[in-house]
Amino acid sequence: MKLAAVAMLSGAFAAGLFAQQFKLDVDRLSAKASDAVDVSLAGPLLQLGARFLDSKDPDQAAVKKLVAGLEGIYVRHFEFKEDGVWTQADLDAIRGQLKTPDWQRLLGWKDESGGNAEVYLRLDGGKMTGLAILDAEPREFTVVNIVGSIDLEALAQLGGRFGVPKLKNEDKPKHKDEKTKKK
Amino acid sequence: MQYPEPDWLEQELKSALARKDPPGGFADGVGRKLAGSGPKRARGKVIEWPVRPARRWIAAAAAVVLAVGGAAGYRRYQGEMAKRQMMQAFFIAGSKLNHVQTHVLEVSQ
Repeated sequence: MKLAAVAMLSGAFAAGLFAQQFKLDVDRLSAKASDAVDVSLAGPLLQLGARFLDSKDPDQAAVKKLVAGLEGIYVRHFEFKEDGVWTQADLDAIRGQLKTPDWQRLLGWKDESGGNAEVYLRLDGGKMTGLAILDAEPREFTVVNIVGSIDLEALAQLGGRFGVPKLKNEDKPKHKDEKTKKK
Repeated sequence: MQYPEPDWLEQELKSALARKDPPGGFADGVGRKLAGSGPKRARGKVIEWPVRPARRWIAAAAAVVLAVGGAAGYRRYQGEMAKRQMMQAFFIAGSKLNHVQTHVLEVSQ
């Protein structure tokens, strides 16, 4: 019984490990981060989560559409209180895995402050089977691996929508009447 | 032809069949037992018999309801957690992609 449980757990672990298209081996940074996000969602858990998304909410409805063609999503995101916590070696460890014929660099950006961002696509027979996003800024380090086919434009739009800062309470009209009063 | 009965047999029979008085309070004891145990036995057979299986079924049904409810609750918890993680993951992935696209567009313009 115990052996079966161990076998099942190792099987699940192995499945989770191999579902990633490259190793997100950045655990070293986790201990030094002031804020860390570690998401690994694949297979049945991903589909289960999708079932709980509310179609009436525009953001959740957009995510629901994106999830439909996916097998997994893996995110490691770290924020630091000071500069220089991550090193070039951390970046190269990820980047090195993406320098294979399977992956194609789609976008890249680098600035003087040390910011560095790249987007890679994984293609299989001309069909997109994966996405990798690598973003390293002085106080942030992010690696994303999306397994499956995803609409990049829809994902970027979703990011743009999420990125819009919410209005503060004092900026919002408290009542409908206030709008009419101003008029 | 008559056979004379042996004396020892006659004596044995007489002593075995001789009237013996019960010990003191025997009649009262029997009376108490009859009065006390009689109705209990009847109640045990007529009333308790249908109650016990019903209790068993209720207990089994409660256990099934608890197990199913617990599993459904855990599934819901898992789903809600997965949803929250998914929204967070897409928020980060979308923001980063948008961030890169914006910078690349700025540079190209």
